[in-house]
Amino acid sequence: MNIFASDILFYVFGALAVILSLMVVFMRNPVSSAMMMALSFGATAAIMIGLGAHFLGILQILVYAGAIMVLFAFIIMLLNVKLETSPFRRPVSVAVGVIIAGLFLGQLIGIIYSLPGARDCGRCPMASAEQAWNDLKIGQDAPENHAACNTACEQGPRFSSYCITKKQLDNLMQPSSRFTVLPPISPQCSAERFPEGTTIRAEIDNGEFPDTALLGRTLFDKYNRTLVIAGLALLVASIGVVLLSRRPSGK
Amino acid sequence: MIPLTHYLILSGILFAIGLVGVIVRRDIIVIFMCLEMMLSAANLSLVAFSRAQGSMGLPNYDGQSLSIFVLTIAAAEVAIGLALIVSLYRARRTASTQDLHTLKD
Repeated sequence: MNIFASDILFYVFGALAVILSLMVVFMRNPVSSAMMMALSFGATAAIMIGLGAHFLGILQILVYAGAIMVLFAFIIMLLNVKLETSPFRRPVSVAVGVIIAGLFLGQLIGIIYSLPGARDCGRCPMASAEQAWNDLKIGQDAPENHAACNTACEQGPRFSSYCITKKQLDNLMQPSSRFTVLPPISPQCSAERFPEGTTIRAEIDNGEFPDTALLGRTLFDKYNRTLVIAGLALLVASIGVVLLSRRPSGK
Repeated sequence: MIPLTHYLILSGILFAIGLVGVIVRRDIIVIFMCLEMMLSAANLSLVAFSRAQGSMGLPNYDGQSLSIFVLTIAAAEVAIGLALIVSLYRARRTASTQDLHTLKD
Protein backbone atom coordinates (compact mmCIF):
# COMPACT_ATOMS: atom_id res chain seq x y z
CA MET A 1 0.00 0.00 0.00
CA ASN A 2 1.60 3.23 -1.16
CA ILE A 3 0.79 6.39 0.74
CA PHE A 4 1.71 9.71 -0.80
CA ALA A 5 1.73 13.13 0.80
CA SER A 6 -0.95 14.24 -1.65
CA ASP A 7 -3.25 11.49 -0.33
CA ILE A 8 -2.94 12.77 3.22
CA LEU A 9 -3.58 16.30 1.97
CA PHE A 10 -6.74 15.13 0.22
CA TYR A 11 -8.13 13.66 3.44
CA VAL A 12 -7.08 16.69 5.48
CA PHE A 13 -8.73 19.15 3.11
CA GLY A 14 -11.74 16.88 2.64
CA ALA A 15 -12.33 16.72 6.40
CA LEU A 16 -11.79 20.48 6.60
CA ALA A 17 -14.34 21.11 3.83
CA VAL A 18 -16.94 18.89 5.50
CA ILE A 19 -16.44 20.46 8.95
CA LEU A 20 -16.54 24.01 7.58
CA SER A 21 -19.66 23.24 5.54
CA LEU A 22 -21.36 21.87 8.66
CA MET A 23 -20.41 25.07 10.46
CA VAL A 24 -21.98 27.12 7.63
CA VAL A 25 -25.26 25.31 8.22
CA PHE A 26 -25.19 25.36 12.02
CA MET A 27 -23.70 28.78 12.79
CA ARG A 28 -26.27 31.19 14.21
CA ASN A 29 -24.75 34.37 12.84
CA PRO A 30 -24.99 34.78 9.03
CA VAL A 31 -21.69 36.70 8.97
CA SER A 32 -19.78 33.79 10.50
CA SER A 33 -21.64 31.47 8.13
CA ALA A 34 -20.28 33.51 5.23
CA MET A 35 -16.73 33.40 6.62
CA MET A 36 -16.89 29.61 7.10
CA MET A 37 -18.22 29.36 3.57
CA ALA A 38 -15.21 31.21 2.16
CA LEU A 39 -12.84 28.89 4.05
CA SER A 40 -14.78 25.86 2.87
CA PHE A 41 -14.39 27.02 -0.73
CA GLY A 42 -10.68 27.37 -0.06
CA ALA A 43 -10.51 23.72 1.04
CA THR A 44 -12.46 22.64 -2.06
CA ALA A 45 -10.05 24.62 -4.22
CA ALA A 46 -7.12 22.84 -2.58
CA ILE A 47 -8.67 19.48 -3.45
CA MET A 48 -9.14 20.61 -7.05
CA ILE A 49 -5.51 21.66 -7.26
CA GLY A 50 -4.59 18.27 -5.87
CA LEU A 51 -6.56 16.72 -8.73
CA GLY A 52 -4.36 18.53 -11.24
CA ALA A 53 -6.91 21.21 -12.11
CA HIS A 54 -4.67 24.09 -11.12
CA PHE A 55 -6.49 26.80 -13.04
CA LEU A 56 -9.91 25.73 -11.79
CA GLY A 57 -8.68 25.67 -8.21
CA ILE A 58 -7.44 29.24 -8.48
CA LEU A 59 -10.66 30.22 -10.24
CA GLN A 60 -12.64 28.63 -7.42
CA ILE A 61 -10.82 30.82 -4.91
CA LEU A 62 -11.12 33.96 -7.04
CA VAL A 63 -14.76 33.59 -8.03
CA TYR A 64 -16.32 31.82 -5.06
CA ALA A 65 -14.22 32.85 -2.08
CA GLY A 66 -13.44 36.24 -3.59
CA ALA A 67 -16.33 37.64 -5.59
CA ILE A 68 -19.35 35.68 -4.45
CA MET A 69 -18.61 35.65 -0.72
CA VAL A 70 -17.78 39.37 -0.74
CA LEU A 71 -21.16 39.95 -2.38
CA PHE A 72 -22.82 37.89 0.33
CA ALA A 73 -21.01 39.79 3.07
CA PHE A 74 -22.09 43.09 1.51
CA ILE A 75 -25.72 42.04 1.36
CA ILE A 76 -25.68 40.74 4.94
CA MET A 77 -24.30 44.06 6.15
CA LEU A 78 -26.65 46.05 3.91
CA LEU A 79 -29.73 44.28 5.19
CA ASN A 80 -28.46 44.37 8.77
CA VAL A 81 -30.07 41.03 9.52
CA LYS A 82 -30.75 40.82 13.23
CA LEU A 83 -30.17 37.62 15.18
CA GLU A 84 -33.51 35.99 15.68
CA THR A 85 -34.52 33.69 18.47
CA SER A 86 -33.61 30.68 16.38
CA PRO A 87 -32.23 30.60 12.84
CA PHE A 88 -33.58 27.07 12.34
CA ARG A 89 -37.01 25.77 11.60
CA ARG A 90 -39.01 23.74 14.08
CA PRO A 91 -37.24 20.61 15.42
CA VAL A 92 -39.56 18.37 13.40
CA SER A 93 -38.59 20.15 10.18
CA VAL A 94 -34.91 19.95 11.12
CA ALA A 95 -35.21 16.19 11.70
CA VAL A 96 -37.03 15.72 8.40
CA GLY A 97 -34.40 17.76 6.58
CA VAL A 98 -31.53 15.73 8.04
CA ILE A 99 -33.32 12.46 7.24
CA ILE A 100 -34.00 13.49 3.64
CA ALA A 101 -30.38 14.52 3.12
CA GLY A 102 -29.18 11.30 4.79
CA LEU A 103 -31.36 9.17 2.53
CA PHE A 104 -30.07 11.08 -0.47
CA LEU A 105 -26.48 10.58 0.59
CA GLY A 106 -27.06 6.88 1.25
CA GLN A 107 -28.53 6.38 -2.18
CA LEU A 108 -25.70 8.35 -3.79
CA ILE A 109 -23.04 6.26 -2.07
CA GLY A 110 -24.90 3.10 -3.08
CA ILE A 111 -24.85 4.22 -6.70
CA ILE A 112 -21.17 5.24 -6.51
CA TYR A 113 -20.22 1.81 -5.18
CA SER A 114 -22.23 0.03 -7.84
CA LEU A 115 -20.30 1.79 -10.62
CA PRO A 116 -18.22 -0.61 -12.71
CA GLY A 117 -14.81 -1.00 -11.17
CA ALA A 118 -15.72 0.60 -7.88
CA ARG A 119 -15.51 -2.53 -5.77
CA ASP A 120 -13.97 -5.95 -5.71
CA CYS A 121 -11.56 -6.36 -8.58
CA GLY A 122 -12.43 -10.05 -8.83
CA ARG A 123 -15.67 -9.15 -10.55
CA CYS A 124 -15.05 -5.74 -11.99
CA PRO A 125 -14.02 -5.18 -15.61
CA MET A 126 -10.46 -4.30 -14.62
CA ALA A 127 -9.24 -7.70 -13.60
CA SER A 128 -5.56 -7.01 -14.17
CA ALA A 129 -3.21 -4.10 -14.10
CA GLU A 130 -2.56 -4.64 -17.80
CA GLN A 131 -6.21 -4.23 -18.60
CA ALA A 132 -6.52 -1.28 -16.24
CA TRP A 133 -3.64 0.35 -18.06
CA ASN A 134 -5.42 -0.17 -21.36
CA ASP A 135 -8.75 1.07 -20.02
CA LEU A 136 -7.60 4.08 -18.11
CA LYS A 137 -4.21 5.36 -19.04
CA ILE A 138 -4.14 5.26 -22.79
CA GLY A 139 -7.79 5.03 -23.72
CA GLN A 140 -8.16 3.86 -27.29
CA ASP A 141 -4.62 4.59 -28.36
CA ALA A 142 -2.26 2.28 -30.11
CA PRO A 143 0.21 0.21 -28.11
CA GLU A 144 3.25 1.87 -29.67
CA ASN A 145 2.39 4.96 -27.65
CA HIS A 146 3.04 2.97 -24.49
CA ALA A 147 6.54 2.18 -25.65
CA ALA A 148 7.18 5.76 -26.76
CA CYS A 149 5.98 7.08 -23.44
CA ASN A 150 7.96 4.58 -21.43
CA THR A 151 11.19 5.36 -23.22
CA ALA A 152 10.55 9.10 -22.96
CA CYS A 153 9.88 8.75 -19.28
CA GLU A 154 12.92 6.62 -18.59
CA GLN A 155 15.27 8.92 -20.50
CA GLY A 156 16.01 11.65 -18.08
CA PRO A 157 15.35 12.72 -14.54
CA ARG A 158 13.97 16.00 -15.80
CA PHE A 159 10.71 14.32 -16.81
CA SER A 160 10.38 12.27 -13.69
CA SER A 161 8.09 14.61 -11.78
CA TYR A 162 5.09 14.35 -14.08
CA CYS A 163 5.78 11.14 -15.94
CA ILE A 164 5.01 7.71 -14.66
CA THR A 165 6.19 4.50 -16.21
CA LYS A 166 4.12 1.43 -16.77
CA LYS A 167 6.07 -0.38 -14.08
CA GLN A 168 5.18 2.26 -11.53
CA LEU A 169 1.55 2.05 -12.59
CA ASP A 170 1.61 -1.71 -12.20
CA ASN A 171 2.81 -1.24 -8.66
CA LEU A 172 -0.06 1.15 -8.00
CA MET A 173 -2.64 -1.17 -9.50
CA GLN A 174 -1.95 -4.26 -7.47
CA PRO A 175 -4.84 -6.70 -7.44
CA SER A 176 -5.21 -5.81 -3.78
CA SER A 177 -6.24 -2.26 -4.58
CA ARG A 178 -9.98 -2.50 -4.72
CA PHE A 179 -10.95 0.76 -6.34
CA THR A 180 -10.58 2.55 -9.63
CA VAL A 181 -7.31 4.43 -9.49
CA LEU A 182 -7.09 7.84 -11.09
CA PRO A 183 -4.74 7.81 -14.08
CA PRO A 184 -1.53 9.74 -13.47
CA ILE A 185 -0.83 13.06 -15.16
CA SER A 186 2.12 12.81 -17.50
CA PRO A 187 1.95 15.40 -20.31
CA GLN A 188 5.01 13.90 -22.02
CA CYS A 189 2.86 11.01 -23.18
CA SER A 190 0.72 13.24 -25.38
CA ALA A 191 3.35 15.74 -26.54
CA GLU A 192 2.99 14.32 -30.05
CA ARG A 193 -0.58 15.58 -30.24
CA PHE A 194 0.52 19.21 -30.24
CA PRO A 195 2.43 20.61 -33.22
CA GLU A 196 5.98 21.78 -32.85
CA GLY A 197 6.34 25.46 -32.01
CA THR A 198 3.13 25.95 -30.04
CA THR A 199 3.19 27.17 -26.46
CA ILE A 200 1.68 23.97 -25.17
CA ARG A 201 4.29 21.84 -26.88
CA ALA A 202 7.11 24.07 -25.65
CA GLU A 203 5.89 23.90 -22.06
CA ILE A 204 5.45 20.13 -22.22
CA ASP A 205 8.95 19.77 -23.62
CA ASN A 206 10.20 21.85 -20.70
CA GLY A 207 8.70 19.29 -18.36
CA GLU A 208 5.86 21.56 -17.27
CA PHE A 209 2.16 20.86 -17.13
CA PRO A 210 0.39 23.59 -19.19
CA ASP A 211 -2.96 23.19 -17.49
CA THR A 212 -4.31 26.66 -18.25
CA ALA A 213 -3.28 26.56 -21.90
CA LEU A 214 -4.90 23.16 -22.39
CA LEU A 215 -8.12 24.22 -20.69
CA GLY A 216 -8.22 27.42 -22.71
CA ARG A 217 -7.66 25.43 -25.86
CA THR A 218 -10.66 23.21 -25.09
CA LEU A 219 -12.80 26.14 -24.00
CA PHE A 220 -12.12 28.43 -26.94
CA ASP A 221 -11.95 25.71 -29.54
CA LYS A 222 -14.40 22.96 -28.82
CA TYR A 223 -16.84 24.91 -26.66
CA ASN A 224 -16.53 28.32 -28.27
CA ARG A 225 -20.24 28.73 -28.94
CA THR A 226 -21.18 27.57 -25.44
CA LEU A 227 -18.71 30.05 -24.01
CA VAL A 228 -20.34 32.90 -25.94
CA ILE A 229 -23.75 31.81 -24.67
CA ALA A 230 -22.43 31.72 -21.10
CA GLY A 231 -21.10 35.24 -21.53
CA LEU A 232 -24.49 36.30 -22.85
CA ALA A 233 -26.12 34.77 -19.76
CA LEU A 234 -23.80 36.85 -17.57
CA LEU A 235 -24.66 40.00 -19.53
CA VAL A 236 -28.39 39.37 -19.22
CA ALA A 237 -27.95 38.67 -15.50
CA SER A 238 -26.12 41.92 -14.92
CA ILE A 239 -28.76 43.89 -16.83
CA GLY A 240 -31.42 42.18 -14.73
CA VAL A 241 -29.59 43.06 -11.53
CA VAL A 242 -29.41 46.72 -12.54
CA LEU A 243 -33.14 46.74 -13.30
CA LEU A 244 -34.00 44.89 -10.07
CA SER A 245 -31.95 47.08 -7.77
CA ARG A 246 -33.17 50.37 -9.25
CA ARG A 247 -35.23 52.33 -6.77
CA PRO A 248 -38.83 52.59 -7.92
CA SER A 249 -39.17 56.12 -9.27
CA GLY A 250 -42.06 58.20 -8.07
CA LYS A 251 -44.99 57.84 -10.42
CA MET B 1 -3.39 6.93 -4.82
CA ILE B 2 -6.90 7.99 -3.88
CA PRO B 3 -9.64 6.19 -5.78
CA LEU B 4 -12.22 8.16 -7.72
CA THR B 5 -14.87 6.83 -5.34
CA HIS B 6 -13.54 8.91 -2.45
CA TYR B 7 -13.77 12.13 -4.42
CA LEU B 8 -17.33 11.33 -5.44
CA ILE B 9 -18.30 10.51 -1.86
CA LEU B 10 -16.75 13.76 -0.58
CA SER B 11 -18.66 15.66 -3.23
CA GLY B 12 -21.86 13.83 -2.23
CA ILE B 13 -21.32 14.66 1.44
CA LEU B 14 -20.83 18.37 0.65
CA PHE B 15 -23.94 18.31 -1.53
CA ALA B 16 -25.98 16.65 1.24
CA ILE B 17 -24.78 19.21 3.81
CA GLY B 18 -25.89 21.96 1.43
CA LEU B 19 -29.27 20.23 1.10
CA VAL B 20 -29.62 20.09 4.89
CA GLY B 21 -28.88 23.80 5.05
CA VAL B 22 -31.47 24.63 2.42
CA ILE B 23 -34.15 22.64 4.26
CA VAL B 24 -33.23 23.54 7.82
CA ARG B 25 -32.43 27.25 7.83
CA ARG B 26 -34.90 30.11 8.04
CA ASP B 27 -32.63 32.88 6.89
CA ILE B 28 -32.97 33.31 3.13
CA ILE B 29 -29.34 34.47 2.74
CA VAL B 30 -27.95 31.34 4.39
CA ILE B 31 -30.29 29.22 2.26
CA PHE B 32 -28.76 30.88 -0.77
CA MET B 33 -25.23 30.25 0.50
CA CYS B 34 -26.05 26.57 0.92
CA LEU B 35 -27.27 26.49 -2.70
CA GLU B 36 -23.85 27.81 -3.74
CA MET B 37 -22.26 25.05 -1.69
CA MET B 38 -24.25 22.45 -3.60
CA LEU B 39 -23.06 23.89 -6.92
CA SER B 40 -19.47 23.85 -5.72
CA ALA B 41 -19.82 20.19 -4.67
CA ALA B 42 -21.05 19.35 -8.17
CA ASN B 43 -17.98 21.17 -9.53
CA LEU B 44 -15.72 18.99 -7.43
CA SER B 45 -17.20 15.79 -8.85
CA LEU B 46 -16.88 17.19 -12.38
CA VAL B 47 -13.18 17.85 -11.82
CA ALA B 48 -12.71 14.36 -10.35
CA PHE B 49 -14.40 12.80 -13.37
CA SER B 50 -12.28 14.95 -15.66
CA ARG B 51 -9.18 13.46 -14.06
CA ALA B 52 -10.54 9.91 -14.09
CA GLN B 53 -11.51 10.03 -17.77
CA GLY B 54 -8.11 11.34 -18.81
CA SER B 55 -6.14 9.66 -21.54
CA MET B 56 -2.52 9.78 -22.63
CA GLY B 57 -1.39 11.46 -19.46
CA LEU B 58 -3.70 14.47 -19.68
CA PRO B 59 -7.02 14.99 -17.92
CA ASN B 60 -10.16 15.14 -20.01
CA TYR B 61 -10.75 18.86 -20.30
CA ASP B 62 -14.43 18.50 -21.21
CA GLY B 63 -15.26 18.05 -17.55
CA GLN B 64 -13.27 21.10 -16.51
CA SER B 65 -14.92 23.20 -19.25
CA LEU B 66 -18.33 22.15 -17.94
CA SER B 67 -17.15 23.10 -14.49
CA ILE B 68 -16.28 26.59 -15.73
CA PHE B 69 -19.76 26.95 -17.20
CA VAL B 70 -21.25 25.90 -13.86
CA LEU B 71 -19.09 28.57 -12.22
CA THR B 72 -20.38 31.18 -14.69
CA ILE B 73 -24.00 30.29 -14.09
CA ALA B 74 -23.41 30.27 -10.33
CA ALA B 75 -22.04 33.81 -10.53
CA ALA B 76 -25.03 35.00 -12.58
CA GLU B 77 -27.38 33.24 -10.17
CA VAL B 78 -25.80 34.89 -7.14
CA ALA B 79 -26.05 38.33 -8.71
CA ILE B 80 -29.74 37.91 -9.58
CA GLY B 81 -30.64 36.13 -6.35
CA LEU B 82 -29.04 38.75 -4.13
CA ALA B 83 -30.75 41.55 -6.07
CA LEU B 84 -34.06 39.72 -5.55
CA ILE B 85 -33.34 39.37 -1.84
CA VAL B 86 -32.55 43.08 -1.55
CA SER B 87 -35.73 44.11 -3.32
CA LEU B 88 -37.69 41.60 -1.24
CA TYR B 89 -36.21 43.12 1.90
CA ARG B 90 -37.14 46.60 0.69
CA ALA B 91 -40.74 45.53 0.11
CA ARG B 92 -41.24 43.44 3.26
CA ARG B 93 -38.50 44.49 5.71
CA THR B 94 -37.62 40.87 6.41
CA ALA B 95 -35.13 38.26 5.29
CA SER B 96 -36.72 35.26 6.98
CA THR B 97 -38.75 32.72 5.04
CA GLN B 98 -41.15 32.36 7.97
CA ASP B 99 -42.45 35.88 7.49
CA LEU B 100 -43.17 35.44 3.80
CA HIS B 101 -46.61 33.87 3.82
CA THR B 102 -48.68 36.07 1.54
CA LEU B 103 -49.62 33.14 -0.66
CA LYS B 104 -50.58 31.02 2.35
CA ASP B 105 -53.09 33.46 3.76
